[in-house]
Amino acid sequence: MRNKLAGAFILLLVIGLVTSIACAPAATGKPAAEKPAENVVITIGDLPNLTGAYAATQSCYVESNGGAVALANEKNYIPGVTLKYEWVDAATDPAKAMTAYKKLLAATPRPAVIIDHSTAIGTALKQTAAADKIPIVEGGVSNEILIPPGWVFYYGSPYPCEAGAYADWFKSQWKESRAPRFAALTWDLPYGRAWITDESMAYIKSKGFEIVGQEFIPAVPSDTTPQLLRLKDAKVDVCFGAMYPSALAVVLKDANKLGMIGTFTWGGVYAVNLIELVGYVGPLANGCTVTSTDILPTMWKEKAPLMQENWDKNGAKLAPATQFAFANAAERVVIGIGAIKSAVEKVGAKNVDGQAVYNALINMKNFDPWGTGAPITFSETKRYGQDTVFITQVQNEKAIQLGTARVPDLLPGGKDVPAK
Amino acid sequence: MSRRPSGNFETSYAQDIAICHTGFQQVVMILFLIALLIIIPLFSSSYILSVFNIIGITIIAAIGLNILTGYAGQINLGQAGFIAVGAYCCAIFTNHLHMSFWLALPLAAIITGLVGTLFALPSLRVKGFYIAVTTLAAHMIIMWLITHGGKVTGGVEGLASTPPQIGDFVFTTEQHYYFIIIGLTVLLTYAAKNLVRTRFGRAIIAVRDNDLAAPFLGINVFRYKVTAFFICAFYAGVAGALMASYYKMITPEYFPMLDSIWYIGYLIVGGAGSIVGTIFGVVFLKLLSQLVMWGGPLLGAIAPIFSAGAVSGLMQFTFGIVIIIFLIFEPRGLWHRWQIMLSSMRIWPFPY
Repeated sequence: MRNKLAGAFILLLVIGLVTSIACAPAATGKPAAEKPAENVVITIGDLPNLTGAYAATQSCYVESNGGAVALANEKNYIPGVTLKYEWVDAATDPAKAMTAYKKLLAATPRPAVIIDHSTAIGTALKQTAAADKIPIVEGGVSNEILIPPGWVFYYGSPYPCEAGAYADWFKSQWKESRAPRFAALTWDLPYGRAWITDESMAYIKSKGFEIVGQEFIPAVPSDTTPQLLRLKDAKVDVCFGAMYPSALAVVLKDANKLGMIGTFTWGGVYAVNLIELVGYVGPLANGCTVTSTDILPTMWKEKAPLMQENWDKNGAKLAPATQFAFANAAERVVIGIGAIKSAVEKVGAKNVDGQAVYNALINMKNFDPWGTGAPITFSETKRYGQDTVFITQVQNEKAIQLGTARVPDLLPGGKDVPAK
Repeated sequence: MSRRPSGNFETSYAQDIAICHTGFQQVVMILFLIALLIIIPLFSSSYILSVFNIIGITIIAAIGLNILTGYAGQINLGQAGFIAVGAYCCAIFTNHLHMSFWLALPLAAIITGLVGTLFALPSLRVKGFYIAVTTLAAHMIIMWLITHGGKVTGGVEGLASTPPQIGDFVFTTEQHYYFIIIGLTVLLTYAAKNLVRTRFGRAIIAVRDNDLAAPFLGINVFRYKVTAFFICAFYAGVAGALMASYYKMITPEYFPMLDSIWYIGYLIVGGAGSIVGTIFGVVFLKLLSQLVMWGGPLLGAIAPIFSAGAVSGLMQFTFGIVIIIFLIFEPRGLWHRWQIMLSSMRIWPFPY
């Protein structure tokens, strides 16, 4: 009897699974605002990493991106068009992301653009997106993504270039006569290693830095003491890296145990959410600096009212510390929306597809992403959007924007790469 | 246990060892193959075919693992590493050496088999938990070599792979890959099913059941363990080569250690020590992951009070709960439950 019951249970489970897959309707995120029936529906796909190593920072992405799409519909941003937002969790795993990407392609209508938020996944999708003719607006970057130019468009500045901008800024603040000692302290992932290139290291060295080491920490670190001890022995003055605040918090706590807080400065790429970091480690975050792609949330009311409205409507169930990441993600969707608008103006709403949006992206010049960041410019040969960054630092447990910095061109063959 | 009606007698050894014993079973098998190889690829959407392709690749790797872990009793926690070897070998051969995919695939599989043999050598001295840790170390060593392979492996940035080609015809769509992947899956499943019914299969089962008594039956335990490792890694190499070609681009992040644990999970759910059980386990868990993928946005739309991040995290609980349910209610896996159901149906409405 027990065997039959267990067997029946498992059989029902299997049947339920198969039936659910077969009958599952196309899932949507936030419902679009009511629009007249004659509007053309254009889909924007999204691959947020809601589980896995990136989950802590990207947990707000559906709210931010879905909210941006809903706001665009509400404001009739693209007349005659209703934007539809579809999301699937990419799980910080390229293999799962590929399945998620294929599920997005099965949406009706087919997405005209897909937003992604991971260097590894963007690298993995580059060839596939080109074959499927779907442009991807990407939040992660590596030389592999940018060169040769393909169908992946990175919205910010390449990480090697951000490292160069940080080095320029740090050197301008350096008061001592000796060369500052520089080391990499970064995630052992494509995202973490992407800024370490021959060009960026040559540039940093040419600016008078002494390179004293490279330390890599795992995606979910529990103890970074070995790496920090080596840096302590090297008497490092400044570290640069790419990781999320959840990992950096572990580093700073370990550095505090070793008495290293105040002996070196940590700088990072844009994706390090300083507000989130302060939430984790409080005063230990003081001095941490990032080359940010966005203005601070405190500036939204004045400079980015649409982003403020998006946060007011959709940020209620999110932690305040996620505001920074909220704007990061929404900026990418806004670029996608802007490209769709250009495509609609050029070919008409009914003819907008991946190719039309791709054409719009490569012709995008000085596009304003709703005031949240520097203007976005792509071209036939350029697949990154921003040429300036905001230097943002934690002071007295608050994120302060110190100013903007020019981003040197440190891609292979770039004009700022030092001659050998 | 018997699933054949009374009155069916085998009159030859060939009949006795056949996979399909009755005419009915043969007809069902033929219909199944027609559906699998003709009807599904012709009438399914790209998305459905992509799900089948992923399932096919996973089945190949899982069958290899089943031969080593389910039949030979050697726990292998490095299957994802062996798959990575196959994938990178294929990518290196097609990308750097401009070799044809049709040559790169068997070469990659053989090289992966040899790598597996290398990590089998400790099995001469260690067994059980310790061989599991050895295979865990294998995964770490392989991934470290790949990540630090410079321009050969592409390091953390990964390596592109060129698609298969026959003359001017390039395999690019889901349907094209379906025929390659499912075709190989059917072939390798048939090979594995036959392999475990040969002297080799009986020997590794004897090693699994009692590796102290097996030598007294004339079984060279070390030789059979190493051979089982080779076959397991060979299958993993085929799966990796298919993965590299199918995804067109591979990075080290395609092969996390957690995947090796999931391969063991496929055996638990499906039934270790059974080829068909492996297929059941992979299909069940892959469909479950599709359900979770569909369910996240659906649940988020139904219950907007929860953030999407919370909803996605909740969906991940499903996997753990399913594994626990199987361990409690059916530790012998879906294949055992299927056997019981078939036997019950055979004698229904009588209970015995």
